[in-house]
Amino acid sequence: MGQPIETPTSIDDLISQVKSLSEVIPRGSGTKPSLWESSETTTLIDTRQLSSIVEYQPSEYTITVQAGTLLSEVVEALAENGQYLPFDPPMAEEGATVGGTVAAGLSGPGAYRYGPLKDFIIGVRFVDGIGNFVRGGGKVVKNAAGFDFPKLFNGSLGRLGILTEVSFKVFPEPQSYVTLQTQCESHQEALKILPIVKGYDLEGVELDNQLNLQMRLGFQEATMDVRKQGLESLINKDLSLTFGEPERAVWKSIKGFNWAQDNRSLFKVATHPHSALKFLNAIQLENWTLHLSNGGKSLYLSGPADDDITSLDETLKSQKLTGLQIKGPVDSHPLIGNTSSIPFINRVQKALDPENRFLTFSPTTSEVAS
Amino acid sequence: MDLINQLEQLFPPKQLFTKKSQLVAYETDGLTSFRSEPLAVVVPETHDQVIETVRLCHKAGVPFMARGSGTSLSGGSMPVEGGVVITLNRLNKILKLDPENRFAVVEAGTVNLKVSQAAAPHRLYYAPDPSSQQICTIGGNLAFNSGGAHCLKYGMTANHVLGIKAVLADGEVAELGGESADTVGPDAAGFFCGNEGLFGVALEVTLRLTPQPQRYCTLLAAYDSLEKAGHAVSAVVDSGMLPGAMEIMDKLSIKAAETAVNAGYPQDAAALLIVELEGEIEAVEEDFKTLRGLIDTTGAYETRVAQDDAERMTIWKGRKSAFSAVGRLSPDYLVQDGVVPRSRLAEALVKIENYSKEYGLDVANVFHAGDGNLHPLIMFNGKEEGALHHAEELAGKILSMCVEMGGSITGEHGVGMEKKKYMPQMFNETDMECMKRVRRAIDPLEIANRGKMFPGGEAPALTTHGAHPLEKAGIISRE
Repeated sequence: MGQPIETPTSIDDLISQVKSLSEVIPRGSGTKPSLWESSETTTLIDTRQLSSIVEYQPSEYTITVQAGTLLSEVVEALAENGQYLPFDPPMAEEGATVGGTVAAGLSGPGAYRYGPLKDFIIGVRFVDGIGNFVRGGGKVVKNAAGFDFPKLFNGSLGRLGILTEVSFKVFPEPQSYVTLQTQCESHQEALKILPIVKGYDLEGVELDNQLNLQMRLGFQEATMDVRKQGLESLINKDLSLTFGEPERAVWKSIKGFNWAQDNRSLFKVATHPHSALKFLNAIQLENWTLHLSNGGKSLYLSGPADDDITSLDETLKSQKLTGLQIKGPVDSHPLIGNTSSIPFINRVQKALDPENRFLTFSPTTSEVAS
Repeated sequence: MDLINQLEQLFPPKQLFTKKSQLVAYETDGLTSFRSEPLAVVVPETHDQVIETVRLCHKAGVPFMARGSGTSLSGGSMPVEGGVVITLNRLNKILKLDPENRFAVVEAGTVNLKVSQAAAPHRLYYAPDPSSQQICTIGGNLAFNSGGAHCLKYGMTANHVLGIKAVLADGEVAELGGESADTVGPDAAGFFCGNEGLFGVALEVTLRLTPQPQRYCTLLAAYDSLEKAGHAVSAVVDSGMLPGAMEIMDKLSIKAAETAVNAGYPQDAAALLIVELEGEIEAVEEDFKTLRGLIDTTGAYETRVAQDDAERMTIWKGRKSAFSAVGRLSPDYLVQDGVVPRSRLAEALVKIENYSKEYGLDVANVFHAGDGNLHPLIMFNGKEEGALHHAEELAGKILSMCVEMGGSITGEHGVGMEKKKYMPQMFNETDMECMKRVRRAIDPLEIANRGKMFPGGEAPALTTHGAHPLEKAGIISRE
């Protein structure tokens, strides 16, 4: 028997379910199982019936959608107007919802240009742990009124409230793209290239497990050639060029985590280029498939499902890095490594969930004792 | 032992002020309409002194408020009556600058512009640029999630804060976020931004640095009506361009700016539009050609293009000084900071004009058109009985209009003391109660910047004191 499931079809439904249950965790399409898989005493709240585009005026550069809306629907609606979510969320093709993406705090390769999800979430509505329906932030691109709940819910892991609605800032998307690719000898070499290209308005910089460095340019036709030449001369090595459908396929595959096999675990670590390199030097590389994303600001690792999370956790802790498990059986909690923010978050959680209906962020004292 | 005695143990005399003559300098901030007298002012030189001060206040149940340069326009850094002011200006070291990984670690009292200056040799800068950036501090920017002219493209302070070391209101030291520009787990550092001093005091802040654009292209267009300028903004947005900044000034603010700094603006214009594109040379130059063609179709009767950096700076100087320049047109004024959806800018301006007529008060308008952030400047003479109250009422009407249009009561100045009574228009009782629960979870005694953001509580009487002395001197400006 798996976890019990409730499927609210309205906010009122959701509120009464939260109030009547003792332990809940929201789930969208379930593409990030480590976030929601838990014991049989925890009821899953399937948010997918709370799905619609609530408000979208392209000239405002904002969109408001219900949390259970599929990312693919949002992406499509925006594309019809030449716009996109600049944080370029992953797993849209795999069925991920907006709520799950926000709760996981996941951005895709396009975040290299303008920043990750946290920089584009401007408003939220959520049901807190005692069934209150709360609004934070707003629907305009600039707003400094009240506590910044939208930021808090980025990466909230379904443990601070159940999102029902999210507003994003959106941008015009480049008309077309080309991708420049080069083969690096080592991670060290790739990381040396990164600072060189920092002045370029690239739409993505990714390094895969075979040390292929992919750099994406968004452009107008008129400037493509001169921009490509500029990059070549900087890096001093030949670049191959992809465009059109094959180009889109490269990035679709990156965003789908196609490089990580289905039956293996998947972790994300927030890094910068040097901390990523230091971390790679400290782990047993042969155990892991690696993908350095977003110009070295995020590192993804995939390993055997039964790998030793404890040693990964310890390495991350010793380097003051924080990791999130996205796929694979969870040891105790999906957040691993440095959790210095957690005592503060626990206090916020206590305010939002005084009756402890949501799962915790870190082992409680009794869990540690056992 | 009372709190003052304990503070005397902690600070040498030159770092602790308790005499009325010493305290008077700290009674107000950029919002000069409000004043209140603190119990004491401390000037810590170490993080431990800040932490210990907060712990002593918590133990004694005495309110405290941290401040930097005191440029808040919402009364956010005005003291809590009878509380302790912790001034952070001496904690102003840039502790680390890492150009390769593009971040800097600074103490909270570091002046905003100093960060960009330190990063400049590496062709990096700190993006948020409030008009007071020559003097305002990162700690204050963080507490109020400050903005500036480039928010549409680059976002506000919270988008550029990666990590924070802070002492919470009960004396606990928290380390939030880290050095990465990406996050894992709840964005605690992002959430701490904009807390308006209610969670505690930031000590050390890790800031994201942004590569300097290779090229800026700036143009100024003059229109014979505000409406045409408003429509030009929509045309730019609809074309798919993403300008770094789009600003509009109306007739009164053009006049004020010209009087103050001789920006050379066309004096007969009813509205001026500034549009700035920035980024990689080839891409920006191509976009700029499109932009110029587009502006030609919007009914601008004069268009100027900045030919070099000096000309660009002149265009911006007029804009950035517009507000302090209004001080030359009127003895007193209030600055508002509401936001409306960009597509309703023209409608909002017509309404403001009508309110201005109804109240018989001149209102100058300068605004960040790209993100719908209005800055109506309500002029009045504080020496006239009831004039301030009358101006306040007009300001309130504008804020209510912003909320009704689906916008916000504040885009970048924060709620502070000034706008707290308008919070319930934007957030319902459940929303407010939820925020209060979070506040009490971090500050059970409600001693950190007590009386701000939430309506009710002790508000000092409104009085008029004219412009801030630094503003009169042209050192700071309101945006």
